[in-house]
Amino acid sequence: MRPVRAILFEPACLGDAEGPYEDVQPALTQLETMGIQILYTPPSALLPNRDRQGAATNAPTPDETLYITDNAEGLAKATTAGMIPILLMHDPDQAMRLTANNPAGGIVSLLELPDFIRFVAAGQDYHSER
Amino acid sequence: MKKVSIYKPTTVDEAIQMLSAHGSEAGVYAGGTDLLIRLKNRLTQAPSYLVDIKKIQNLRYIKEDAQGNVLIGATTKLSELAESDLLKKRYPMLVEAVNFISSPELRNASTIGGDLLQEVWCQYLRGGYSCWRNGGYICYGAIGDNSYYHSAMGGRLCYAVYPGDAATALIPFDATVKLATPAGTKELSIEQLVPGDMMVDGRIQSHVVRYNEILTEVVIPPPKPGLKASFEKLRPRGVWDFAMASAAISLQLRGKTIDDARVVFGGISGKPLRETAVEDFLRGKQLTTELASESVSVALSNAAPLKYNATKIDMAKGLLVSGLVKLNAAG
Repeated sequence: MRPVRAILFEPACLGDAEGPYEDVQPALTQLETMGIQILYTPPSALLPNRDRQGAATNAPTPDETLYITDNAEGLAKATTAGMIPILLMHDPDQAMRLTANNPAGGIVSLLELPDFIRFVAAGQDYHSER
Repeated sequence: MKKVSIYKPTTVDEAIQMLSAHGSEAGVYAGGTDLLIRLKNRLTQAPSYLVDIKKIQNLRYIKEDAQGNVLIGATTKLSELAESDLLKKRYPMLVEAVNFISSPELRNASTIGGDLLQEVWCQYLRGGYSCWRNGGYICYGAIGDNSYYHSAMGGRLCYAVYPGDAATALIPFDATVKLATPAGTKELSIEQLVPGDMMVDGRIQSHVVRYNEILTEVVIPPPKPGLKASFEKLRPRGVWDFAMASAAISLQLRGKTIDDARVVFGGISGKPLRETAVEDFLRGKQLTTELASESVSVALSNAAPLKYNATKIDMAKGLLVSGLVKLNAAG
């Protein structure tokens, strides 16, 4: 897995009719501190690091973007778009069944995302140093 | 099982050089009761280069120093701890705890260093699932059968419990360890040694020992006056098994007055869990059976059981009471 630079959440992973889930704001605050971009539309796979004039941009590529979902359709959508499909494991039994759909990873709470991203980066750092 | 190369250094410095040369591809090999099983389980994280430290002189002993500390070399067998007259006299609770670890056969092979630094025994990891500790990015224990090997106190990506009994039993004595590192000797408390899931050298492990460091010695300070200690453990099989829950307690008593306390739970969290809320509650009070029952009210208030393991919390609280009752009855 490449180091993560951005996250795209399925809206249902952030809250329900009663409002945002309690772990959303603390997680987003931490992610912002880490410089992780929160996306609202999928990143472009075409010329991802260049604007229309060809100048360099800071846009994340799909393979640097986590797609957070809690369902099979979301996992398939992320895979098709070249993003990193991550399963939000609200319901243990359903989540175990969905592991058959090959998520790249899974989290129990959005609060695990900062550690998730740090772990991916730490693994990259360790192996590149050696 | 993948092919492995075995080095047999004769000094700690030589061993560190070998470990440094291979990074996380290498691992310390002593008793083998954890490491060889990881290889047999075909885990991707199992090392390819085994640095056998059994031939290193002066790592296998139990002795007392001039300050009254008891020193235990890292490759000392658990059975040697269990049979040590010095330990029986000074820290009978530790001996009791060691006798609860696995089976007599395994205690003849397992070392104290290996017990402290053992890998978790989550059935998904050991079954070769691609989890956080095995090259993946998901914890199957959090969503599968978590009744036994998983934390009821939350997790940090991985939800497996730290399985060692020795660490749980050593914390009440304020024991420390020495690590040999390329930069010299490092000293840590047991709590610092096994703080729960850590990202170390690109992987998740329960302890802080880096790939080129070796645990060399456990140091147990002399027991304080009036110190009494107990170790309780519940396990699925009475003959030998890992803890569903355990409780190690030490009280420094003046008559029945508790001057100081250490309360540590094992088998319920990703680390040996020191419960300072209970320690604070006990400190300064008279030890009675009523106090033992009352202590439950402040214990493990931040429990976060998974779907199938809430019973671990009930077990731990029960062990806290029975440990305190036992200490009260002991006078």
